[in-house]
Amino acid sequence: MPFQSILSDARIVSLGLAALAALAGTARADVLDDVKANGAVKCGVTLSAPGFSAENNQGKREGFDIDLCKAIAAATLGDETKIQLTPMDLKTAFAGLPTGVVDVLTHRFTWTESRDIGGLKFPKIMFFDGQGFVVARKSKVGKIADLNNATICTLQGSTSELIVASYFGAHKLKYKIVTFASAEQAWDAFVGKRCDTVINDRSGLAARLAKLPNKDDYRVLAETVSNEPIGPIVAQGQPRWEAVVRFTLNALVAAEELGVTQANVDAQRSSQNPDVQRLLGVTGDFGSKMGVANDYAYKAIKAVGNYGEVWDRNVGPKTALRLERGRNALVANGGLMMSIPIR
Amino acid sequence: MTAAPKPRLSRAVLEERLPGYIAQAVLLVIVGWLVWRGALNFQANARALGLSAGFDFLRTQAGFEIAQSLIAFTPASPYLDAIIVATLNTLLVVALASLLSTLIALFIAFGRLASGTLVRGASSAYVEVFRNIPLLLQILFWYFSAIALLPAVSESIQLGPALLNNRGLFLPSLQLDPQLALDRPHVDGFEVSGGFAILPELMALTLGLSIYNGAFLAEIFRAGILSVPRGQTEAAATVGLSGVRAALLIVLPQALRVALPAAGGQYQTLAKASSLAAAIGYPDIMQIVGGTVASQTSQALEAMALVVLLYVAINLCIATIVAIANRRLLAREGR
Repeated sequence: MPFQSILSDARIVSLGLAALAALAGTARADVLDDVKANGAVKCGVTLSAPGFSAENNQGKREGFDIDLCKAIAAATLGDETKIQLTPMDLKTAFAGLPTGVVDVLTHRFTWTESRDIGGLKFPKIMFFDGQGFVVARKSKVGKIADLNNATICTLQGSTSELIVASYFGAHKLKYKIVTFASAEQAWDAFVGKRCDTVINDRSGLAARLAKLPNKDDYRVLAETVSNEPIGPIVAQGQPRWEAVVRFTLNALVAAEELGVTQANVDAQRSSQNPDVQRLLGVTGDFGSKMGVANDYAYKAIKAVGNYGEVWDRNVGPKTALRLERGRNALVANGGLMMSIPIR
Repeated sequence: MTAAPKPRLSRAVLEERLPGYIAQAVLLVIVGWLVWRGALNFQANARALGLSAGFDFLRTQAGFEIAQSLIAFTPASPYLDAIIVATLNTLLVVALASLLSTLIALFIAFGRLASGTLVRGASSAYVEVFRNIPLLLQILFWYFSAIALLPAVSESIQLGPALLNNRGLFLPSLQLDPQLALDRPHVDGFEVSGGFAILPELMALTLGLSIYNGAFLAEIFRAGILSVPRGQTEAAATVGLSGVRAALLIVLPQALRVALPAAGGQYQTLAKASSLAAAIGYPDIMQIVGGTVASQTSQALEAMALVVLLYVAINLCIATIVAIANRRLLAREGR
């Protein structure tokens, strides 16, 4: 049971630091300079979401979100091992980012208007998700309308709370909600039959179902009740750092579009394709203009591979999560994922 | 009649005390200046960091639902109402757990002082076991075992007019509209309709807090009881009072004199520990204000400041109540 998520020191420390920074310090200078001075990228990550950010059997944290952090470290410092991961929940993450507890949140947070204008900047969407419901097969619930009067477990402070309220309100369905401090506890309570259903991002539901021994006793309802554009977050007022995070992620997507992979990236440096040349910094000066090495994208791709490789390694069909690309496929393949033109 | 002469500081006394007064004044100025600068700096930096945008959000629509509310609350209610609901929920669980833990503590305290070996041993075991297991663990244990052991809605246990299942304890409630009637809870598809529900979260939290704090309170009460001279019990026996009546009428009031200040501290600990509710989804201050409100508004500092203020206020109220009770107790003693 995830005790550490409740007693998480990170929460207390980062809130304390937030208050202290506001009390005594001054607003952060330039995060990119800070990162270079520190020699490490500090990433705030999810406590536990298999496939995205979770500890493996050796106690090493790995996943989709961790790979993005590594890519940023490779792009800025030339070394993907120079990362410091801080597991954070909602409370600590949103207070910790502006005060410099972390440099970037490579987390599972949804880009919303209130968060954006509240000072949390999302450089680029890395995951198009949507929320869905899981039910026990035994309950004979086949669609959301069958959930009238149901009890719903979810994570407190998540967008799910608002989505449930507006969706059920709009469809004149009644419900009861039980909200927990962490997604794990909400899931445990659902599995313990406290609730009839649990709502979360579909990717998150897949991650938790993958861990259950009796996963066939449950099913995810077909309906998706929201759009959840998910991406890394940086503090506002940091245009250079925001650009570094945006174009590092962008480079991974562009690499997939251009057929550049972790394995062939060295050979691709001598490619005659001008798009590949600009992406890998063979021509152009985008990297140095941004304040990082000109071959920042080469280093990021060399470290973690392109977007498709990151997907396949962490959450793809061959992993326990078995997620299809779906909306996250490249536009060329009928999905929504595309790169910002590198020109 | 002449007016009593006003006490005047003689020159000598003034000269002797003057350095002290000056030092105090200087200290006051320095502390005041630090607080003032700190407040200004806080405000400026919080705004620069985009951390603080004030408390205007309290009037905007909350947009979420709360599982248990003692006043009317819908997603259309403002954040302020959500905070009031959360505060009432915390007060409810603190009141219930204080009451229950006091009852438990009295039984255990007298049990530990009883002459029977079995009762004494059981009481000692209770204290040692529950005092030494982390509270969070106990709360999670009660919660997840309650959910696991209680049946599903369709297989509810019928306790007279009440229903018990893994969605809670459903008691019949009085219905005033359209006519005075007893609203009996009944199974309706997924859920129980009618009646008044006590959520499993409230049950588990009350139980966990009561059992844990009861062990500490029992020791405090025992110390109080032991402070009453033996002669008092013997005198009570001589005038023909039974054991229980002697305990309640003679020993307990005197024991409280010693026990009350320490017990007050324990009630405050209980109030603060109720914030562990967030672990099991009971919608208290920590969960609603420090969790949902903080993240929905992205104004973590304001929300956390409110959490701090609310807990401080609750604890100061408890301290005041205990102080008043203590003063009355001592006043009665003095008579």
